[in-house]
Parts: sequence; structure tokens; C-alpha cells
Amino acid sequence: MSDVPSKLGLLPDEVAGSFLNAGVLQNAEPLPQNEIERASTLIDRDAEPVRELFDEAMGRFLSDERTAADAWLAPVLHATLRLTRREAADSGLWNYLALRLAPDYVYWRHLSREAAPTVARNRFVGPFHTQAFARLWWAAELFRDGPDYGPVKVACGNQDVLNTVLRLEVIRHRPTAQAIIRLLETGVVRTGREVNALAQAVNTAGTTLSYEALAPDEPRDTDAYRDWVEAADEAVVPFDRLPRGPEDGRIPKGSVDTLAKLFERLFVDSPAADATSEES
Amino acid sequence: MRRIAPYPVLADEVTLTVHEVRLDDVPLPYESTVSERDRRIALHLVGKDWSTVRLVLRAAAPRHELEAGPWKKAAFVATASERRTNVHTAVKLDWGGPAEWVGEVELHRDDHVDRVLISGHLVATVDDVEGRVIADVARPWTVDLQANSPTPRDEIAVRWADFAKVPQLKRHEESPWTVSVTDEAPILYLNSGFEGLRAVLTGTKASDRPARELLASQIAVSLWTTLFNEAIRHVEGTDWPDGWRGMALRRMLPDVFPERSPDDALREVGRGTTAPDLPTRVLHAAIKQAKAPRSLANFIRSLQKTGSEDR
Repeated sequence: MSDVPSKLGLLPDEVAGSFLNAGVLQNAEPLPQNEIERASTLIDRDAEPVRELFDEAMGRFLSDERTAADAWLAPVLHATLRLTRREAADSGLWNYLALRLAPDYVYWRHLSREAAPTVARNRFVGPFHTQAFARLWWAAELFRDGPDYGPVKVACGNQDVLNTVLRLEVIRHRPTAQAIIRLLETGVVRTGREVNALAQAVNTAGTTLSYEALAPDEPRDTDAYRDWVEAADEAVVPFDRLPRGPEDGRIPKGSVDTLAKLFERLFVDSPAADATSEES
Repeated sequence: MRRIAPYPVLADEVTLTVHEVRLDDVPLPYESTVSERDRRIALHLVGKDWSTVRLVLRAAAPRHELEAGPWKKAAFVATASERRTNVHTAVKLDWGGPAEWVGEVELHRDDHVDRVLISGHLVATVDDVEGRVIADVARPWTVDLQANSPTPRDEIAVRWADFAKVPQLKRHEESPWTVSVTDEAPILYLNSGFEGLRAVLTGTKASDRPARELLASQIAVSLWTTLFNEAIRHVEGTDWPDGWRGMALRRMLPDVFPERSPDDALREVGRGTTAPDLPTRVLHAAIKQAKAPRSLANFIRSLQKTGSEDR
């Protein structure tokens, strides 16, 4: 894009939504960048290091393997932006990234492969688990194990985790999120159908079992997280290996072990698991 | 809330009380911060520099039922959650006497934006299964980081604006009013560029009163219809949505589905109701809301009161 803005900004939902007509969603009409810039409130964060990530992703992955870009982009986006959850809850930032900083990436990643290709509106402006960039940042935040983005890579390497598991309220308890990823890592669940069956089983059992009581978490070290956020300017985020996340505390391993064992049992006992094992 | 489960659960309520609120280790005046009746804590932290809010909690279960029942190793888990930041903190409280638990939950500024739900559940070993939830807190608390009073805020904002001059309202330029919603609040925008609207709505002449009331109730009907339709999009499962959405549903669902209990009506919309006459039902409920004499009088007053142009 020729006119990369120098700063990041906030673009309110309503205004952002008003720019998304059918022509724009089909990538047949350009977004009115000057108007968008005028409607945004700029914040004191450089846009260039973030923009660089999208160029790098589009260079690294061919268009027909574009879903694989999610697992690469999520950790580096999280480690580059360095937002608090409070800041990340403001959809204005995600709207700004999608409509102003990198609409070309949204088209590249999310334009449907149909006769009349189009991007779903909620990839530009939408809930945290659907919007093109919010989903990656939140996946990184909710699946990381303290500074270790390894589980994020596993989570974002599976579209069903992003589409289904990310929106489950039970994964806001960190050991629950880790245990689900553990079952993917160890190959207990593999296919999309299996991930969905596992998600459903975990969610259902979560209404009668307290995962918080069975597998307690440690409080996150919010001061350490803040230090990491404040060091954003000095950070160099590597592209060829996983960056290091905030040192706000690992998730107790014993708790993850407990839940992984429990979830494996729930999954094996679920009716959907039978159906999928016969198939493969 | 009474649970339905394939194992024995408590029949009586578990209560959660807030004994103290500390802001960066300084206790806040209880009276003006905590409303026990509304189960709300107002912190009024807009624009303030703070880092931690600590709540001192006590949970109590019906002692005789708990001791006589088949439950072992009962424990209480307190939770602090905010949907917007995906934060869900869980803390096991300490034993504080028979069927009582005490402890603290902490809220950090970087983790929260607006309203935090403080709740919890009682767990026990039942039939050799550990960690069974045997009761939920009957009436959870809401910590409102922004409100300056613990009684519920005026949930609908009214603003005058010349639609032609405000980018986000420009496409409604020809409409006399429009409703816009965010997670915090619905806003009713009145178009000051619409000739005559302001004169009718803010006038005080008695002879204009029938016209004023008619117009106000028409605005109110479309407002309530919009709020309802917007609120049901946020119903997931059996949980009442937070904030104004919950308020709109609690007020309207009994008129939309008069044959059902409120919880049952919520489940119906949560399932994606198939009632073919839903639009008619919603209209009926919106008219009832709009016409309620007290509500209409308040509504007109709020329209008159917002004399100044906000934007």
C-alpha cells in the first residue's frame, strides 16, 4: 500500500461499518482512506512495525496456503503490539488495522474462493473471535503459556480451534485452554470434527464440573505483563523462531495434566469420537 | 439459581456478600460504594490512576442442608469475570466457619474496562466424583468501574445532533431520530436538523401536549423495538446478557412471551425462537413499554432535558 499511516489509531465500530458496502467487501471498490483517517483517533504507537508483519506474512505464504499464515502471525502480532487486555478490548484498534493499515491483508487472507469472491463483513468489523486481527491477538493471549507461544502456534494451526474453541467461555480459565491444546499436540484429537467434538464435550461437562476447583490456576503477574508492554519500543521480534511473550507466570503443569486426562476421557466417551474414529 | 444436574445439588441458596472494597489498599466508604440491594459496587474510576481493586468476600451456604446431605469436601470458588476482556479469575476461598467461606478477589486495571461480574460456585465430591458444582451464587454482584453511584445508571442516553453534520449519522440525515447501540449504552439520537422536531419535543405549551406525547411514544416504540432486537442477538444459552441488554429483555420478554416464565422466555430466544409472529409480539411489548404512563412521562422529560447539543 502506498500510503502507510505513521501511527496506529482507533476507528469506532459504527463509522467503520459505514464504509463496508458490497463493492468494498468484493474488493471491487477502494476504501476511502482519507475519510477513514479523518474519522480515526490516532494513538501514540508506530504503525510501521505492525505493517511489516503483514507484508512478511504475505511474502512467506502462498495464497493457497494462506490459512497457515495464522499460526505464524498470531505470536508475532501479539509480541509486536504489546497491548493490555483493557486496550485490546477496544474494537476501534482492530477496525483501524483492518480498514486503514492492512485491508490488503484482510482481502488476501479472507476473500472467499467463490465465483463472486467476497470478504465477510465481520472480518473487518466484528467480534473478537471473528475479526481478522482481533482473533489472532486474542488467540495468542488466551493460548500462550506465560512467555511460551508454542501452544498458540498449535492452536492457530487448526482452523477449528480458532472458529470454535476460541469463543468458548470455559477457555478463559487458562489450564482448560492448555489442556485442549495438549490433546491436539499429542494427537488425541486431529481432525476438525474431533476438535469440535472435544470442544462440545468440554463445554458440556463444564456445566457440572468446576475446572477451576479441579485444576487451579496461579494468578497472572500483572506487573510483569506491564513491564513487557512498556518495553515495546526496544523489542526486536524475530520472524524465524517464536518470539518470547510476557513473563507473567506459567500455568501450573499439574493442573493442565489433570484436565488433559479428564478431557481425553470425556472425548473418548463422546458419541462424536466414535463416529470420527471409524472414519479414519 | 437452582441447578438441574444428574446428582444431588443444594436446594437452598448460596449467598455471596462483599464486606469491604479496597482501592490500592485504601478501604472505600461502604455506603456510597456498595449497594447490597442492587448487588452493585460503583467505583467511579473514570480518568483516575489506579492499579488494583480488592474485594473482601464471604460466601454462605445453608448449613443444615449441607451437613445433612451426601456432599463431601465442600469448597467455594469465587469468580471475577468480564466478557469484554475475556478475564475469568477464580479463587478458592478459605474456610470461615461451618458452611462459610471467606477470602479476597483482586481486579487489575489492565485487565478490565467496564463491568466485572463477581460470582462463584460451591463444589463438592459427590458419588466419588470430585469438583462437582452443587450450587451457584443466587445473586451475583456487578462491579462497575465507571459508575459514580451504586444504584443502576440511567440506561438510555438521549442526544440532539444535526445528523447532516455528524459523519456517523449522515446516512440517517432524513430521519427525525435514530438509535445507536454500543456495549455500554444505547443512544437515542434526535435530529436537530429535522424541522420542527425540537419545537414539538421540548416545548412546554399545554396545547402541544397531545402532539408531544404521540410523537414521544412513537419514538419510544421504535427505540424499544430496536433495543429488543439488538439485545436478543447477544443471548447465549440461558444467561441474561449484561448491562442494558439484560435490562431491555427483563422488561420486554414478559410481554413478548406472556405464556412463559422470564427464564423460559430467555431460553426460547437463546435457542433462536421460531415463533412466526415474533415481530408482532415484539411490537406489542414495545407499545406497552412506550405507553406505560410513568415511563412515557419520564421519557418526555428526558427529551426536554437534553437541551444542549452534545456533538
